[in-house]
Amino acid sequence: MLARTRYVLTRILQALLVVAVTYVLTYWVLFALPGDPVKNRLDNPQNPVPPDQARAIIEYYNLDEPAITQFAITVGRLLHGDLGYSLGTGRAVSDLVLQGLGSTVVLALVALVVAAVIAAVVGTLAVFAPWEAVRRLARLVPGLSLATPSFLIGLFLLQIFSYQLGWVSALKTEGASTVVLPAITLGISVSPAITQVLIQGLTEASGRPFVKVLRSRGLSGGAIVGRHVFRNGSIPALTLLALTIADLIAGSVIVESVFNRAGLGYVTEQAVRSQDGPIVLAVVLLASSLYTLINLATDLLYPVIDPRIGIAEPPGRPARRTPAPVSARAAADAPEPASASASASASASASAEGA
Amino acid sequence: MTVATRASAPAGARRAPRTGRGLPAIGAADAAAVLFLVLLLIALIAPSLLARADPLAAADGQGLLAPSTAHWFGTDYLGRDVYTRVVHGARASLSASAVAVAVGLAGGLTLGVVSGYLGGVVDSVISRLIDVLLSVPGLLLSMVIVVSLGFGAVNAAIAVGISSIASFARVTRSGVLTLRSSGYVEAAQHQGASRLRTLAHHILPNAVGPVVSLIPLQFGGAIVWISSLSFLGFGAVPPSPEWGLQVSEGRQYLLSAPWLLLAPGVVIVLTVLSASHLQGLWEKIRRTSN
Repeated sequence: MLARTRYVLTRILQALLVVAVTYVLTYWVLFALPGDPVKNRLDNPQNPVPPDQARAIIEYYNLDEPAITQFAITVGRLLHGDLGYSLGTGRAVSDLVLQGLGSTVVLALVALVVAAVIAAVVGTLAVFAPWEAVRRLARLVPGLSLATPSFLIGLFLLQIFSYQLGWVSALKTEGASTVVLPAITLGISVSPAITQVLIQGLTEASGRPFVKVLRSRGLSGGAIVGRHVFRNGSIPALTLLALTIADLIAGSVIVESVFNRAGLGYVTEQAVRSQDGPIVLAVVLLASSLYTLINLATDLLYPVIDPRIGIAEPPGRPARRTPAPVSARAAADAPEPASASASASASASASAEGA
Repeated sequence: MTVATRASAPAGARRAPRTGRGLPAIGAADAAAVLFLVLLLIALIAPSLLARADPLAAADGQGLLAPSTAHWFGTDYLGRDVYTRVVHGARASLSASAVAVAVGLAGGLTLGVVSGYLGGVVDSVISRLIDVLLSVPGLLLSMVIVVSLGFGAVNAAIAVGISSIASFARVTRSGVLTLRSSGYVEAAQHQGASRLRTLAHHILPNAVGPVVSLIPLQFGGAIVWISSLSFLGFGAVPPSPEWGLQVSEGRQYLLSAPWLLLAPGVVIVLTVLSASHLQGLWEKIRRTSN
């Protein structure tokens, strides 16, 4: 038990460290490299900042102090919940982010459901469809959606459903229906890795001995797949689905640009366009914290949800598990799930990069 | 498509018909992918062979013409021939992706080899650094770098390359870790080979294989990413015929001239599909020859 507590603590510290280092590196990339965005903004001859405003900005960002002092002050403010002010509009970054967050969270959640449905349908067809042709066709879907940039998917959906069929307005905001096309676009663009991992998981699970046992007991094919194969084979895909949430934030930049939605993605796009460092930094902090938190949660929760999943020992350290008969049996019984989350991220990484 | 073939490997390997002893059967899809890649290669090296016109030449009164025998893919709002622009855009898009893959490969190989071979503190530090790179979604990370470097085709390519370092580094590191404890490396060390010699002569040549087979997939991914950055306006600058930029420019004419978008869009998809198909073919050959 001591080893487990230690493992949990180490993982939490590691997660905090990753977020902290991400913040520090992003800060230095954005502010400390040549081409300081704050100074650029002040020195911009085309859009001069009035001297009194400039003085306020110089004082707020302590531009007359050395870089390391500026950094310390920024971190101090961050710890007090102050994310700074937009260089372009002068509004508080926290306001801008919160303002866009609502609509993007709705978009991301619907997109997550879309991705899950796509993965489940395509995965089921690819593994269990009774016709060879359908199985083959379904297996082509992840590759095809991976190869199609999300802006293309969005523009084609817009062309078909808004312009040709006129089902959804491309310009007006009409309540819930306007979220459908963007969410489908975003859902399709993040689905390939999840679908792929689900196909692998289901293929692997349906080849396990327990399927034969259940069959010999007289269970129908549907019951085996629905109640047993899916439960065993979908764990890596579920892990990946959870980790996708951070990608949805990045993906919303393109989708919101295509569909003219004013969410966090739009805020990010505008910030990048006007080289508005504080906003970009805040969005990176948000996405990185979200990813790391979900990663941590899946790592810590899966042993609880599925007892067969052991705790992976930190690399480079000898295993210190107590040689209890239970764990030995579990290891022999299920060598695959033992590294469920690891294999999910590993096999998905290659395909997920492009998405 | 690769991903799909890999998943069906256990079943597919048994079923796949084989010609002769070693090589896997070449299907219609393989042939199509190779043919398309050859066309791309020609477009990259000598675009004038495929499209003789000037991709930047505007023609008055010829704007937004529908596809015809004179203009295969129609013309854009300035009367420029879309087919010519798509062919000439190959150079911009493919060379940017090549830069991205080169940056990712160089960074990833270095980090992965150093991390895997030295181990200890260095390994922990680099592994955390890779965690950091992975914790920021790729597109967001490349936008951060673009903010810092400034907009433009080359900077966008470098940004995408840096974002892909983590995946190259992970594959390299795991390869080096396995090799480091293998028998022949131990033998070399017992014979008095220096660390550098062991690394250069024994570990690197063997660790490179899996990393190289990652290249086509990363190349396809880079095309999608770079075109996304160009689409947002952070990459190539007009009047460059870069594919993502063409889609972005054609966007305003979505209703009246959808071919402006269709031609570069389909070419992007086909390129990425062919690249990943090439990887599938490559792995099939590797598996059968082993």
